[in-house]
Amino acid sequence: MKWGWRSEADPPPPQGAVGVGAAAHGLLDAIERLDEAVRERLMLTANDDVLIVTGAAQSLPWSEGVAYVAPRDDAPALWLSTVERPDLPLDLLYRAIARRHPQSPLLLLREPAQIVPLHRALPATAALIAQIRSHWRG
Amino acid sequence: MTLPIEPSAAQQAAARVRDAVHCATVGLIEREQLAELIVLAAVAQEHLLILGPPGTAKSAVVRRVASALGGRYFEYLLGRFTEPSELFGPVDLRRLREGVVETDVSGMLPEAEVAFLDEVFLGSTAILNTLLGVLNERRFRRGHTQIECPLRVCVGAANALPDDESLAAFADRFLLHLFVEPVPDHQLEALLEGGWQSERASLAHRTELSDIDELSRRVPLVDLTHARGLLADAIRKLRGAGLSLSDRRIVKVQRLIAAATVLAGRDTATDADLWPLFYVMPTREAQASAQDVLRDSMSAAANPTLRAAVEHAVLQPVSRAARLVEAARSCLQAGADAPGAATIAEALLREIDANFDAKSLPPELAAERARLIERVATPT
Repeated sequence: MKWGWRSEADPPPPQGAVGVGAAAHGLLDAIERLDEAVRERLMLTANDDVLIVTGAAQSLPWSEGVAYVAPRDDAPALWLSTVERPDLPLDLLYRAIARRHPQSPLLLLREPAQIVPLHRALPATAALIAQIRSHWRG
Repeated sequence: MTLPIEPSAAQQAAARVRDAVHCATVGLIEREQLAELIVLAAVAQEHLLILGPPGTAKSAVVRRVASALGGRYFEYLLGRFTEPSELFGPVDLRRLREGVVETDVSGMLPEAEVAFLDEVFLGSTAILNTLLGVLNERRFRRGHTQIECPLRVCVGAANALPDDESLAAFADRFLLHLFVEPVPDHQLEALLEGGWQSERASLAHRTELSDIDELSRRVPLVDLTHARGLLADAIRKLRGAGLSLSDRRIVKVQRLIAAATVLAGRDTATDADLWPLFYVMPTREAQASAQDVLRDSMSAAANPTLRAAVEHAVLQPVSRAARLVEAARSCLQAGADAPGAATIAEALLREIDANFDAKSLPPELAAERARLIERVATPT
């Protein structure tokens, strides 16, 4: 089935931020600069190229190149960019994705096209940040 | 069409009104829309009905707007046993001895310039009938008392629209309907901080009611020729989708469109000024459906004085971008060394990026975004 993306008519408040490539490094720096009390309320997860931080909108850091993400009411376990959405019913799309990716929740990225599970996110402690840096260097 | 008053005078009055709205809502989260609609209603000489649960800062906003506008304010919480005298004043006993039934209206609703009536549908038939005269004709009639009322705007509030047919007819007299919700989860921190600040902030008098009157006088002079065709098209679209409005509301919405035009500093209504039609839809469901049906008709909606009201009505990027441009400029004007300047700039950058990607970012907002990035990068 062919489908595309369209602009989100009413972007929801962000519940997470995603950095890819260089933006992921900038985002990790921005998270590290936050007050410890604010930072540790955020949750982090990363892979080789992507960093995702989730938490309350007003606690999320800003850095150049990040995209903000949030789930929608019609598919609460499917996280998407706040500015666009697939042009088909989200609940059906989520069910189709969930058949092959049983983890929940899932982030659907447009560029690079990726599905990132969010269930392993951990509090953004200094130790976790150091671990992610070390993983990226390695 | 040339108007007797220089456009700049109206624009200055609109700017003062915008400043008053801004000051009246400092610390009140997500209530700018309500404050702006009070102003729109006052300029159009119409009335506003707020529907929503208790404790949503309805009365605080109306009180603050009234204070910022500098008008005589009357507020009352109606109940089933409220006597007419509690709203309109007691019978004048001295005159009664002379055989004349007159009401002493000093300090009561008939003398108010801005009024807020909470739980308005709980009023008795006697109260609501007298209120109809005050709202429709700006005239108070009771016994031998007949006086002109200086009322600019009455804001009514209730938990929900009434089912009773006679009360529904009364609700119809409030041309603007606004449905308010408690502050959403993601705004709770801001609500707590804002509530703390607003309790300590003094209510400042920012403009004169004469500014509202000045703008109001211009309403009948607005050229609606072009907008009238657009309005008729929009109403046909609504009817096609099964959304009907009474003829009275259709005719009266022109006053709101003209008032929006004046508050935008213009004297000719365009497609940017159709958005008040959203607030004329009487129910929450009709408003939600109208938003979809009229998406194309309202794509140009904008108003520099009433940004939040436009944004909520049409959910269009144009109005959202305009609000963010204004917020960015206000943040940048405050200076880099203002308390929390970098945090505010970062929050705005977050909001801009959460609403627009590189392709959809309007050039004007892109410029302010670049200046905000400089602000964030500048060490203080």
